[in-house]
Amino acid sequence: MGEAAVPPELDTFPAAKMAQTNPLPVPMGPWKITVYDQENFQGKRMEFTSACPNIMECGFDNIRSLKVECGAWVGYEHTGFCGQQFILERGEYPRWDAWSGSNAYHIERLMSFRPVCSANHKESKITVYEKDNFIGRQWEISDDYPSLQAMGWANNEVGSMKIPCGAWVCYQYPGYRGYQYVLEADHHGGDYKHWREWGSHAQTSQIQSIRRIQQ
Amino acid sequence: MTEQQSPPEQMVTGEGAGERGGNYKITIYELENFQGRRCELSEELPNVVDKALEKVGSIQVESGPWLGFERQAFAGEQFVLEKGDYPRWDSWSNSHNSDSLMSLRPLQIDSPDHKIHLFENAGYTGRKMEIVDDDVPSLWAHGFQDRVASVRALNGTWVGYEYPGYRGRQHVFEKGEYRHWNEWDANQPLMQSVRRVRDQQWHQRGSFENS
Repeated sequence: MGEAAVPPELDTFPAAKMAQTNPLPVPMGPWKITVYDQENFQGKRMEFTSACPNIMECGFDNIRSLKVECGAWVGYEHTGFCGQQFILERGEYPRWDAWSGSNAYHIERLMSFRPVCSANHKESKITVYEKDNFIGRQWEISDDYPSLQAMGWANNEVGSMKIPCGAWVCYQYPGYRGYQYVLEADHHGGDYKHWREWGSHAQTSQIQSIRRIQQ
Repeated sequence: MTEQQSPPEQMVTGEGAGERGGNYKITIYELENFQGRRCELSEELPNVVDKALEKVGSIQVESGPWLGFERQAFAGEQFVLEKGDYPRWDSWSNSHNSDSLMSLRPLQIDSPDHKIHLFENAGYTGRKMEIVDDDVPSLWAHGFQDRVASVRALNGTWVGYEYPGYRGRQHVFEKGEYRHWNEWDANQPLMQSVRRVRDQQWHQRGSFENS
């Protein structure tokens, strides 16, 4: 079922198909990120073109600023792609609050990161379901929703989601704020049937904004 | 970007249908998590203290969109508030220097369409980017960089952000001309992402109730 959901263009990335068991895709695309151990692009720097599961192995104690030159990436609070997720698209991020969604949690740590191989701004689709296990009312959407409720969604929760193509980021609060959940067609076979599958930091099914990730 | 579609014919109501042509309702609470003294609003409020609230700790937007301001009389940093629940200040602000929201007003929506022109330099000069009915989480990905110094919002209401992915200071662009970045109260021409403001009151396309 998961295999059938993988869009044909992913054929060029055979490793991406194995991502269900191995969260470490081997990117072949033009991905490039430069990380710095001080704010404002100062201090020790290092360029990456593929995933980094532990920045400490590269002699960094933390990442305090970064530049995404190619592709879309997701950063993680902890090593091994765990904890809070931070979507990183092309551009310059001079300090932690440029990527973190919420000041209150005050996560000033970014210890691992990887490319989002299936990001595709133009061809992204997601089906959102009212309840978990793909039950209840459902809608297929292919546009960004800074407020689901402003467009008629009944409450501040989403039960489950299926992603046939592209990559999406869901947020706890309207306007793309709060906890971020990066959901991809080439992970879990694109099926996220319960909020526990959204990430190790997920605690509730609260989602109030959703958008496509730009490659 | 995307091709512009012809506007739906029935939306000619515009001017005649009252100043704003939409319903606006917001509840502000003095404390976090929708606790403490509360106040419901359906029109602008230049100073929350006028409603006997010392501060705003949480917000529920029932019908919007609204624009919040850091200081009274619609001044200071801006916070776009679309329909939904905002349990604490950090759910609407990305500013690390202020948790204050002292005034609010409804956000104007002029039409169901969205079209904006961004310019690299002040006075509508330099490189130009047109966005029609789309959101752009990274201007870099379209060959633009981090500098936007003047803006023409031809249709619709837009929000620009300092950082990619809609992070950092926000600046709202209601239909109009912004010749220089000081007209949107920025202290530098830094903008790396831009998005539309949509609400089903004006934007039927893509709304869930159609389904």
